[in-house]
Amino acid sequence: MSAAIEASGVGKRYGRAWALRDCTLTVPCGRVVGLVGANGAGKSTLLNLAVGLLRPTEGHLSVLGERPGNDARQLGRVGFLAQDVPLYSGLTVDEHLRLGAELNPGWDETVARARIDRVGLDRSKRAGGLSGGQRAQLALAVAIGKRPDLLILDEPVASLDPLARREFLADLMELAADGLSIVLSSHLLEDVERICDHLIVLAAGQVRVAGDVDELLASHKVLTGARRDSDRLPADQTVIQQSHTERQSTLLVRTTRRVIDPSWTLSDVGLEELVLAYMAAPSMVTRPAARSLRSVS
Amino acid sequence: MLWLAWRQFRAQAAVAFGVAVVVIVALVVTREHVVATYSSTGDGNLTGFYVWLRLLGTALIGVPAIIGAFWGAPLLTREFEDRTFRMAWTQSVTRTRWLATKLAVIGAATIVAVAAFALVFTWWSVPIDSTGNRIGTANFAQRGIVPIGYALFGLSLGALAGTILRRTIPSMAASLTGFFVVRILVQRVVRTHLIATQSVTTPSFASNGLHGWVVSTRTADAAGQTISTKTAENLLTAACNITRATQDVDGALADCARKIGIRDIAQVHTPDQFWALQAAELGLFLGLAAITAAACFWWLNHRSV
Repeated sequence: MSAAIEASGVGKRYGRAWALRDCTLTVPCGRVVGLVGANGAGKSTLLNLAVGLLRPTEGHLSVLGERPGNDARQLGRVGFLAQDVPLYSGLTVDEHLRLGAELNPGWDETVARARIDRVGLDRSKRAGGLSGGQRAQLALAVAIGKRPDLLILDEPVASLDPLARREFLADLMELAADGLSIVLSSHLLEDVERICDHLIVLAAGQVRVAGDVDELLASHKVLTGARRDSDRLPADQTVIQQSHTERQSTLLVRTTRRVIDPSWTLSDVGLEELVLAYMAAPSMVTRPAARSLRSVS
Repeated sequence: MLWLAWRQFRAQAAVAFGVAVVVIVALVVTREHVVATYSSTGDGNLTGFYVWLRLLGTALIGVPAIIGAFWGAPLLTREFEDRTFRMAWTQSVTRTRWLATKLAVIGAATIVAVAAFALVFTWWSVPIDSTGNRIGTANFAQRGIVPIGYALFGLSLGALAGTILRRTIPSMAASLTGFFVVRILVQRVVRTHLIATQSVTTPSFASNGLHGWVVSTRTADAAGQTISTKTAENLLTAACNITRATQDVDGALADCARKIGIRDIAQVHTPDQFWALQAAELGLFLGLAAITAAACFWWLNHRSV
């Protein structure tokens, strides 16, 4: 089975500014992938490229083995819930389902209706009068109804209140359990930590790190010890972040082997700490790391 | 896709067809009076309400521009401004099919509404045109089948402006401006070349009785050389001893001109060329509409990404 998303050297430029640059990554199928990064890091650009709304300025991108938006069949395999949940405000809930049915040959009315009924949406209500949570649920119903192999969501919970957010994420996890591949972007690390098993960190238009959450956590250690220079570490240890006081050094390192130097105190790293470290790290440090991760998938 | 295109357009279509039906009923009901007025008085003294009805022809000139601005431009800008294009173009329908269906639905409504309006108005105007000049620039665009071509061109120009500019108000302004620039350019420069003029010769200084659209006239002497009016007058003065100041009240100038072979040669689009010229101009605008629509498809697939 081909990868959900495979990018090599993908860049997207608006005018003279690069929103995404030199993006190389492989997103495996059957995962819940979290795409994290600060606002303006290029998350939306990457997702819009993946659904074919944008086309890369450079590089090669394939989604489920084909160029995104290549033809109607490829479009049908990818469900998309765009940022701010665009809906036709003059169309009712029922009419949105009709839209889904008319525009998607693989439409599954039962699945879509079941979602609408479960969240208790008034089917004759216009989308313009729905709450944020209801809009997200309606958009999800349309995206799911087309029976995609891959579901891409751009900041799906950004506008939801905490309760609606929790329910929405629970629904996503249910879908993932049924075997749907999911890629979602968020700047809420808490959500990502709860539901994602694969992570991509973007910063300033570049991929800082990507990999399965378990692997990432296992391959990163926090080293604490007497103050020393970070360039005197073994070759297999890459420093992601370091901080020094007069007498003590704290390093976040990535390593595939055990740290044997007894002068370090070792501790595990939390996902949030890891993500923040990569978001702050200068890009040149992590490029080789991002490359080596491709073998993981 | 057909359902969605119709669902998003049906409110505008209802308004347009409502207006079209009112206009057509008004024209059908009042035509008898127009016929009666023209057969009794000859020169047609339409007054009051009927003057307003004649202005429907002027309205007909504006309709294609309005269709471009209010149907064509928002076709894409509404999707861009509400950001719903991200929903529309990520269903299992390519952008090409999406746009083709939308243009087909709105285009069909445009053809039906404008054709009905224009043809009924043409029929209503037959008594007026029997004494008037419908091939001349004042009336030509208000009659026959050309409004259909204008409207389709307006529609695809509006859609193209919307595709490129992405915002409703600037797109409406651009499509209105572009439409009238092209229309005026065609009317003043291109139209006369669409079909060949006919050469009509009449004696100089006679009331020439020319019908149709006179594109140009020249005065020629017996040898066929073009001469100026001044020269012609001098020749006549010399030949028939008539002074220049004399008004040609008794037809003396015309008689003299006929005698010495001085004549006016006019290039004219004659009234019987009306439908040929209509067909040619309709073809031109259908071509322009096709080119504009093609540009719209190209931009949507290559630049709106």
